[in-house]
Amino acid sequence: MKKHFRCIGCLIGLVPLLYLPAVRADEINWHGFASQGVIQAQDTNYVENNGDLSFKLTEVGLNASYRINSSLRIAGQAVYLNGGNRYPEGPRLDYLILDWQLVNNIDWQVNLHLGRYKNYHWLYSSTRDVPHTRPTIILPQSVYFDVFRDVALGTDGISMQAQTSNDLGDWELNWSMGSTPISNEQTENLLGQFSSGNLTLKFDHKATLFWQPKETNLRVGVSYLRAEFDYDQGMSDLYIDGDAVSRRIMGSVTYLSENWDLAIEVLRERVVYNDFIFQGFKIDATAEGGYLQGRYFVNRDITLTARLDLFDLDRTDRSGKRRQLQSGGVVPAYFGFQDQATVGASWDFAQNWRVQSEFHRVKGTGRLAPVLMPNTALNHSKYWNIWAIQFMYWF
Amino acid sequence: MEEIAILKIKVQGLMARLVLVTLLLMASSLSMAHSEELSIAVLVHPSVADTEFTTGQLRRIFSMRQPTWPDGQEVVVIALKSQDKSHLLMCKNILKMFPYQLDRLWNKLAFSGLGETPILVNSEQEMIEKLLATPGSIGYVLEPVPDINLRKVTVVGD
Repeated sequence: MKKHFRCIGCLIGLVPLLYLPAVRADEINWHGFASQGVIQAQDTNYVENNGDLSFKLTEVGLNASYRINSSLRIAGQAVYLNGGNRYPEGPRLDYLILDWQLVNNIDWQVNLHLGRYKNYHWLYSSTRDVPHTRPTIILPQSVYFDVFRDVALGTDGISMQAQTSNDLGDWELNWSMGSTPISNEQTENLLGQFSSGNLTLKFDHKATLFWQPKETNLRVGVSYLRAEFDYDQGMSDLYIDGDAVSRRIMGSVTYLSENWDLAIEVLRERVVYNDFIFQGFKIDATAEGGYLQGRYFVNRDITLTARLDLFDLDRTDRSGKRRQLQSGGVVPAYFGFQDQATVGASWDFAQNWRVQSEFHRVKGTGRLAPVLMPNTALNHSKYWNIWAIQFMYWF
Repeated sequence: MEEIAILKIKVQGLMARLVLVTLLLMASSLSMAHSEELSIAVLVHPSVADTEFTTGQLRRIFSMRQPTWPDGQEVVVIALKSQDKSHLLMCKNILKMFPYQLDRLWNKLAFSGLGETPILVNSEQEMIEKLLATPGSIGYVLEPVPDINLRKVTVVGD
């Protein structure tokens, strides 16, 4: 299944080359962004192993879109990211899709995307690496878990968006199925430095329904995700062969007003690990979390943000004490949750230029890498802080 | 005691004057707002057959969710920058949206591969020139509309 998705991705990737000789430069829509910041996550390995001040807050991207005819379009984006330990550093093909408009009439628009498509299912997932589209530099980790960034963001396969309006309001249905290549660095982020094997995502299936009641600025959404992973043991590997299944159900509400907006996303995620550590090893835990975020637009250029984000790794062990007991005291209880209060401000000081800053007070380390065997040496504080400031430009 | 009473009267008088001045200022600002009530005209290129649209249809068009007109011709949306007064009025009065909503939608389209963004122009003069030169285009200007070869859109009930 995975190989088929990859083949489709490769073929779609070649399509733009066939059109290049016939394309005029003014027929291509270009957009891009560049940003640089400074960040410190004290007493943890979230950005730097020693919790030091870091300039590893760089995001650069360039994209192009070309319309072949009234129903076909090609679009692609390449990005360079450096977020320290948050995700692997380097350039990436963010998306490259053939956008095929299947239906376009007064009542319905249906589009099919083939290739590497973005995650259009959560509120900020599709533009997660584009600084000026984010409410804050660090997104709420309950939903937008940085360690899972590459797995959650771009997928090779097929995706569909359908939109319609009726007497009840506007409806949007997103569905996607595909696979994501997982790099060695990403595997290490997930499983730790002692893993030398190969982690693969067999398939990833997502579906979302959004509804905006007629003549309101309220929008509600529900989404479902199922992903299956396989692990093949490497040479002198701490881990053995294993597999994992993740099922995530999410709900979201947004409300927009002239001077303020509200966003809520909640999730319940059941993850089952089989084997991995020894034959017959099993973890079956259901995590819960979510955030409430409010923004106030002081004027056209200045926005203030406040957010509370809560996350429990196992809903039957919210304090993490059972895990602490089971690990013989090796894994402190605060690895069972991560609650985060955030305040931030952004200022658009010139056309398409912004400076954004924020402070996070964090309780718990449940969303820090690696996932399966926590790094208790580097993450030794129950309470820790993050602060960050980032300059950004886009066109 | 008498001095205190006089002082109280003076303070009350001052307060009354302050309230009066505030009310007068509010009234004058309201009347200014009324006198500044401007209206927006949505315009299409003569090649576009339809000139009657509902608010919902215009929202879809300016949200870039409708790439073609019913006859198959490409929809070309032309917009002023979000700081522009005409843009603000168009969003609020015609689309019943806030300008930041459109900005977010357009950013999502531009940076996630979902779609294309409008052509942005710097002035109403440039808007008119671009509309005249682009078949399938739709845009907007402040009323009154100059006597030019563009068709004015009528917003009808949903």
